[in-house]
Amino acid sequence: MDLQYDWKGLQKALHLKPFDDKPVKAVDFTRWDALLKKAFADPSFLDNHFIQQWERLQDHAHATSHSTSNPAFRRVHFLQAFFRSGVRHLLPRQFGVLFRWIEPSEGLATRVGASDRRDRECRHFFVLIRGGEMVEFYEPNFAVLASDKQEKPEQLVRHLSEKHALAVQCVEMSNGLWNSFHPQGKKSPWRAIFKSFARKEIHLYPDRPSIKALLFLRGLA
Amino acid sequence: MGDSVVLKSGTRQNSQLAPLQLYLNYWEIPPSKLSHALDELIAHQVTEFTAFVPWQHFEKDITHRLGKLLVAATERSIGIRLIVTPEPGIHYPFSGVPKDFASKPEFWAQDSTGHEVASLLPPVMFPLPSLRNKDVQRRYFTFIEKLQRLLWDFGKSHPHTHDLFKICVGGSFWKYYRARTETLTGLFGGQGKSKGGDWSKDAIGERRKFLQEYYSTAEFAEPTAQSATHWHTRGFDELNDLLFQQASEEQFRAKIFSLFKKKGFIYEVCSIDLITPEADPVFTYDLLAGQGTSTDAYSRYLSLCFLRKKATPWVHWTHLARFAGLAESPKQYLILKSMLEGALNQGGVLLDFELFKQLGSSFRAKLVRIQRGLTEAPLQSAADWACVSQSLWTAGHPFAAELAHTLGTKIKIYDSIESADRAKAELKVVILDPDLLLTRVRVESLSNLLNSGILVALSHESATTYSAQLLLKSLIKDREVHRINPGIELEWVIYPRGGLVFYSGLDPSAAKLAEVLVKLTETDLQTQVTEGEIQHLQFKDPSNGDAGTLIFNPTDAIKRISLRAITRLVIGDYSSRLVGQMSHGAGTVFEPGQMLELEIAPFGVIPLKLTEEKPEHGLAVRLERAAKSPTSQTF
Repeated sequence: MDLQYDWKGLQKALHLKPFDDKPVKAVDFTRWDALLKKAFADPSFLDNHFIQQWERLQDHAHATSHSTSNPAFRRVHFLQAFFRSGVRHLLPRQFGVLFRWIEPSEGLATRVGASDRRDRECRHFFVLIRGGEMVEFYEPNFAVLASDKQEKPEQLVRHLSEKHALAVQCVEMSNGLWNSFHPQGKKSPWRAIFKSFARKEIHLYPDRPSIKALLFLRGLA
Repeated sequence: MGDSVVLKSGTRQNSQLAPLQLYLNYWEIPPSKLSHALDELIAHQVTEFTAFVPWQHFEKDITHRLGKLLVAATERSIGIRLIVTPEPGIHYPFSGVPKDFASKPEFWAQDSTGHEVASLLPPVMFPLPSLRNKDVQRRYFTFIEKLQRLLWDFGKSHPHTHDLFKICVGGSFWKYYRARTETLTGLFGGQGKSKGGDWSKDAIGERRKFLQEYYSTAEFAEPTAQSATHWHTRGFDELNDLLFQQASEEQFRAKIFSLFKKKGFIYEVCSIDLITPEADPVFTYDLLAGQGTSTDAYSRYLSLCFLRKKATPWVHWTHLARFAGLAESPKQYLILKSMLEGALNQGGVLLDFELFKQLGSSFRAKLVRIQRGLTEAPLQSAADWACVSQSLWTAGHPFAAELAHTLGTKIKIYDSIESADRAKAELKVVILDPDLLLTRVRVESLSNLLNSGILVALSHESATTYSAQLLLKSLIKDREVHRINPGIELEWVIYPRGGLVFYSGLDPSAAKLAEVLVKLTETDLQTQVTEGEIQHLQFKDPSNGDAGTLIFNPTDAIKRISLRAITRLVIGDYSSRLVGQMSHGAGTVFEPGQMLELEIAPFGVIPLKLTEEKPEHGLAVRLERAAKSPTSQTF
């Protein structure tokens, strides 16, 4: 069974650290009590996953308060920010992104798409985007596919596309490269992503020129 | 493989487990990878691991994942502890609770301030359902029955697996049914409007029924039939609330036990207390505000949980929310503290296997070394004082908390005299909370304690049944009684060993009482630590009779502390013993009053050996000496 909201997987995939390691400031208890009561009274709240729920609560808190919002909860992942930006008007309303990270197995240095596939391990994570928001995320199980198909990103895309009845884009890169896009500081990783594209270290399946152009433009901005 | 986690050992008492336990969420693993996952555990030399059985997943599981897990584990002879109670922080939507119960207000638990009790952990925030609700209970116990049948069948076809699998019944949501306005300083001790417990409509209805049944026994109708109504009067409201809240958890656990323990069921069923700090209501507002809970707060929270003694305590760090965002040092500190403090209480720390693999290799190796050392030769908590409170997680009276504040880790809080009686071999002094209802059975246990040479202190004003009063009178009949007033009025009934001390008032100063009893019994608190933020924990080593203290620094700064010896002490380093090396330095002699200056690294732990050199005094001699004061008379 796939977990619809695989929070652990998402944390690991996107290097999420949603809470700041800062001391607690004075908190207005009654305001939060009222917001939580209101949120739970809305049945749609429980249909959301943790991030959506949290952001809804924070938005309500911000709307009902004259104070500025706490920046800690606004630390949005760069991909999430990208999907929420104006780009969402250029993308389908609903689509999936399959992340495919390649890791050299047993210490063998492997270049993506170049060497023997037996020398590497692949990790996958699927995110379903609707209206710019991540609505589902989980580690997909490709066990139903024949083993030779499991090695082919195009087949994985096809499988997920049929399963969810939507367009799916696979992004493949090495695990080390993906990790390098998540520095400790607040520096935007888009320029580094742009350079990696130029060096053909990131692969798209299917290779859609329109998506590539969007990512290039974002990297240049 | 560098890190080996040998998790099962026969050397800890009563087949206890090693203090580091790993868990695997079997439902997250595709069936094709299950064998690989178990082999990976075996490669880490894990011989037993833990698995939560999410209620909703089991109900919906048409692919029989649990059955497949049992088969795969049997093939590899790897043991599993199955946690069958719904617990906050399970990585399954709604912690495994069926969505209906989480989404409809009629099923929600309610705290005493009228708010829902929320679980704010990923993957979904939801209001905890009331485990007192009949529909919730019916469906949950049906799930347990189905699970029991699956395990019963499996046991029948695989009888050799009887010592491979174990069923663990946790405390579920009961301890989390508390007002979130409760603060760490008043943890589990809320009063007035913010008292603990479930106050939903269903729970209130059940309370009425429970009390009617509880007080329907003959004991409460003595000396006259009208006496029975007396217990339902408003004056007993607070006591009745506590009685009900405590009984709710006990009845829930007992029902699960009864469903499992049917004829032919070959697996052991045990009681545990799962402590999930990130899920506690006391941290709700921190989570909502997206702000950090300090490591110090978590550290103090752990100590306050370990203070309460019910079942074997296991600290479950979910790695889902706040804990995942911590830097490495505080994360390691909290894991180490959970493991050490848990180990002293026959429990430990429960970590996701994924999280364990992400920890630094040197820290993993350290955990494994300590775990081996503590499994081969366990250490024990040095707490030899007990406070018996009417309710463990929802104490209505600050008495127990105040005692704990004065006596530190010297004392444990029990939820019944019977459980203190079972632990009497470890105890010297038992203090009964003035809120405790004294029944005949309880006074019989109290009598056992007295006959074992334990000093028992109780309030003159405790609610006592008529037959318990008679029994209590027989305990003091023809015995010498001393009335003393060392700042608090006491009546001291002398026993050959130990004694019975009556203190006055329903609202005595617990700190004062503790102070007086410490002096009168010449209890040695051994050392005093002079730094406020530092936490220390006394332990004893049954393998060689050593005693010691663990000193924790939960801050990110280097702390310099001074230890002042109260008695003549030999102080030495105990680090090597923690990792299983039995030979360690002899230590240095400290005369009373002499100071030892120590520097503790940020998020550091220092284990010290403290060997006491004291004159031999029996408790009776001490009491005689203490009682040489103004008035004394014989009953």
